[in-house]
Amino acid sequence: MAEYEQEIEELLTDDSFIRWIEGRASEVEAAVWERWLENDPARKQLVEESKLLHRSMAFSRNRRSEVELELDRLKERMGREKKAAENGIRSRRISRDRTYPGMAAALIIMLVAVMGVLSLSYPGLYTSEPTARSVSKFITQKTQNGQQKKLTLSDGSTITLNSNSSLKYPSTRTGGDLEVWLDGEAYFDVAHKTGAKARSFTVHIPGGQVRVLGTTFNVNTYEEAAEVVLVKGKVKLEKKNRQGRDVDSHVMEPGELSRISELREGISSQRVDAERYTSWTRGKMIFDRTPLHEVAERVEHIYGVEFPLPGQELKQIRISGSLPIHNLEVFLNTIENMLNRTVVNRNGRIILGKEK
Amino acid sequence: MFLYNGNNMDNTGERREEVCLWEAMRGGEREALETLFRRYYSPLYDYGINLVANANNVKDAIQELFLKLWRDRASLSTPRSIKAYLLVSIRRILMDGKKRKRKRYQRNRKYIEDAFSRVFTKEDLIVRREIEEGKRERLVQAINQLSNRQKETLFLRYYHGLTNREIAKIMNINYQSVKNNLYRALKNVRGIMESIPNSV
Repeated sequence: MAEYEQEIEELLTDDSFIRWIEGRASEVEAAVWERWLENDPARKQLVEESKLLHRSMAFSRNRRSEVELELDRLKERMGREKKAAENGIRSRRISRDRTYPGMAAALIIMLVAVMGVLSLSYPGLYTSEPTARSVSKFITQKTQNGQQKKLTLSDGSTITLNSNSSLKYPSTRTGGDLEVWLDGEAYFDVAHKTGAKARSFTVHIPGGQVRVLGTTFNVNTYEEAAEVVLVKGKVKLEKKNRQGRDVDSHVMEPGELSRISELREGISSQRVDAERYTSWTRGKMIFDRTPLHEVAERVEHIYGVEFPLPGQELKQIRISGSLPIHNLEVFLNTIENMLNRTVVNRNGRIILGKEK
Repeated sequence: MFLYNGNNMDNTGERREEVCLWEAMRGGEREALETLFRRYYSPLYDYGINLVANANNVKDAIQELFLKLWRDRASLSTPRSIKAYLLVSIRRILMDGKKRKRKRYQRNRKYIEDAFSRVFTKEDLIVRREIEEGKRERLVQAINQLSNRQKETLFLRYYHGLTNREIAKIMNINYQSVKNNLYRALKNVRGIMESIPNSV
């Protein structure tokens, strides 16, 4: 018995064994371990226990929120060093510099400038007296291909609407609470209110709703299943059935992506890199080992084009990198070079040619 | 503007994509450097913060590492594992910084080798359905009772998914020592877990 226990630790120090239990071993390697397993029936239990210990030792990985800010700091340093080199000076020492907070401010101003296609102010909309629900009218904001809109609420909250999306809200406010209806994709930055000013903020989506206290999050209903990505704060997802009754609910944590679908029961969640899902608000699409079919879907929604991918193999190609969001031409050129195939935009249908 | 094509996500496909990225960076493509930065910032931070408990020092070290990569890109070779290469580098930068700050009599090897002094909490472990709450708590307790070097070996293996050879390189110890550290760490963890009441 004691001898047997010792073997678990021994096995787990073996790289080949680990590759095998993680399913990453080559065929030859796996065959060796399978033969080893067959030679003694007692080893089955041993492998199971090793697997359990191995899997319980899972450290969680966090995506640090300051990545983009730190990357900007690096780029600024690289720029400065290049200039210094041109002037014949080389700065070797690296220390935390004073321009850092200033840079963050400049960055924020730039983001606003990029997104500020249209800026709306709410106050006028909600000052009229409360009216009966039956007569309240709705205003709808819409965006076209490649367009974004930024809406600013009187309390400082902002909603950024991505391309080919619409957001509906009542023209008269029925109380302190806010309710909006989203079709497409939007990024919400909701100001946190407490005490007498506390109010609820609800985003209605097909198949459910998102209930909010001060927070930032992204909602995307482009596909059949609506996706909500929480950046910070807390939101509660409520799934409704066709009769409008709550059938499931889930309180999201930052860095989580949840899906609500009209066709499926319940809410599913996974951990994601929230930055990738909100990079569009900064005029960029960021991909990291993203399958080409997901990239194609993204492009279809943003530019209102069709982008069929012939063949499974093509769909599973993974790509990494970042692209500006406002230029379909640049995007198609890049894809052309990467896949080494001709890419043509034929009246809104992206056609992939043969390999060159 | 760039995008990289990382076909087939088996080991060799992943490796090919990384090499492609690395070569592009060496060739002077800034976007490739940015992708490497985005991909490795968090793992580098999470490792570095275990070695020096100061967020700014870790952030500065990551800046220094990438600035140095960019500056020396033409003379770099392609490492066997890019992740392991970056982890070795960040460790060296952080340890050099620490050494500089110490007085001469304090600069002994032991101090540097035992830098990994992190105390883990339950939140540092992924919640898995098959592993219940109580067990997770005991596991963390057990890990925290290990020596710093055993902790570091476990972390490199289970957080960063490195092989024995890669860990040996990063910790600057020999292959057999890694295996011994790992063996003793796992044995202690199992022993401690079993000695804590409320078993499975």
